[in-house]
Amino acid sequence: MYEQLREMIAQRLSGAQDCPAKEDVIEEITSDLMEKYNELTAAGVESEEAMRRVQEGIGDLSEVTAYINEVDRRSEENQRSGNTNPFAGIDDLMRTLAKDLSPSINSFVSDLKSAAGHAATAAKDAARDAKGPLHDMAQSVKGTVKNAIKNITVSRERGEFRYDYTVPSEGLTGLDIRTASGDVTFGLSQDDNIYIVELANGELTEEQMAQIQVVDGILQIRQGNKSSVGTLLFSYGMLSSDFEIYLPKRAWNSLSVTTTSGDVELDKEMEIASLHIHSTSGDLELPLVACGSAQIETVSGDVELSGHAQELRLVTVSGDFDFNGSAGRVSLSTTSGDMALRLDNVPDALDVTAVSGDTKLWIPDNDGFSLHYNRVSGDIRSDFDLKTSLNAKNGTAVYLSGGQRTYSMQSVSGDLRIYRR
Amino acid sequence: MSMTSDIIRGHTETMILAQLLEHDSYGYEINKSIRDRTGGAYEAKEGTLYTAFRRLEQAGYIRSYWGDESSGARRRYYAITDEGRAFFRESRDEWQRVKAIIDRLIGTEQA
Repeated sequence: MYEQLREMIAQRLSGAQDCPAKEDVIEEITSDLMEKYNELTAAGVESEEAMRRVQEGIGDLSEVTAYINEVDRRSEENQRSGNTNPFAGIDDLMRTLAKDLSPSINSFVSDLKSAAGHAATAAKDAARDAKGPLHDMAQSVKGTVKNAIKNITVSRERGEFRYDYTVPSEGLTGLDIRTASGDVTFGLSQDDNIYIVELANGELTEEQMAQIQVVDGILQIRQGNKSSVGTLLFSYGMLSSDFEIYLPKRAWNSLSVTTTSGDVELDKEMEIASLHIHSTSGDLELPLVACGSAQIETVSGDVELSGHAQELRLVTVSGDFDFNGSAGRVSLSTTSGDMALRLDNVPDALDVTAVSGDTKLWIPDNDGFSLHYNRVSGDIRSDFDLKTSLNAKNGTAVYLSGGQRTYSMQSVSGDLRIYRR
Repeated sequence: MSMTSDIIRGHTETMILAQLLEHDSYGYEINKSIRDRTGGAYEAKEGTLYTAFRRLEQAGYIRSYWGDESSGARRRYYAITDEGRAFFRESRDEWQRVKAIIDRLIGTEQA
């Protein structure tokens, strides 16, 4: 009888991959059902009838199946990413180069590996720049570029080498900054010049200093080539430098910062039409920005953002995200990072894609929204009175008449909470 | 009966935590206890229960361990964690609030 029951359960779970988690679930359920069967027969119920009742009582095992497959997939990812050797697969990575980390399905890349991946992208960009039209342009304006930097001074400060670059801001519409390991902090300049301070832990040659040039009105700042091998791979054993960038108080058309492990801290109250920050493991502190569009991507760095963005898009793998302010349209994507957004306004659109990260949203009372949801096991709770029961796996829940606002949420096991502010 | 089932199933996790507050237990024992306490009015489907176990475990509200039964298959026991206790208190308070609001709106007197 035990074997029969076990077979039946295994059948019901046939949608799940064979793996230890599946075996555990089969054993647990079979043990419980065996006890139920024994109790029924001991009470005088016929064997066949007892079996029928046991079967009838099982219900829907699709969520349990999904859970088993999720566990199996994650442990496969862990094995493949080579936990013992963090540099395993580096060659393949260099060859295939980092793709966009789309966190909706893929997850769990070890920090070092993704740092290498992003650095590989930076290296590829640098290589491409070196041979492509940008390089030619840079070569031809090299004379002008050098002159664009009004002044370079070197000094020593508490064991650090400090390089000051002065660039007039006239004619510049935006900035594009790339560093591998250095932190990037923004501050306020008291005049029309942009002051860039590079603080290095050793003396830098010209090649190792920040590469600064103006291309099409954009001030490009690249962390100099710090390694003697000529590739930006890992930051230990190498020179590294932090950057402080002082900008005049004015609105910028674009600000783009790409960093691997460096932290990024914006000055408060910066006005930027298009803000783009990409970090692998660096933390991001972005206080009181006023943006047209803000696109923030991180692998494991934590993000603290406040202010206003017409369009806010955030992509994270495991970094946590905290937002305080207002946003017109919001798009959030997380693998395991948790997200908390306190909004002063009711967003026109919201979509959340999550694997296991939880999302908490605080919005003011409003005249209605509809929430399309699609989930495996994530919970949705709200203190807005949502008309439809949220027990189904997918459907639409409506607050008041739904209004003009459509929100959507897709999650495997991440929870969504929408609270009234 | 279907609305009742829906509502009750939505509270499965809280019900399981309530059982585990008293002592560690396993799937079938928990289901039996629920059935007995409701005088047979409600018996959870196994699928519902096991899904809830997984969710509670993933959230860190319960942890599990295998029993060492001498005969038959091993039972999987569950124990509530401190986070689970906190979550239970929150959930129970939330339910009280919901119940109070609904009672106020639809009244408790026989029409």
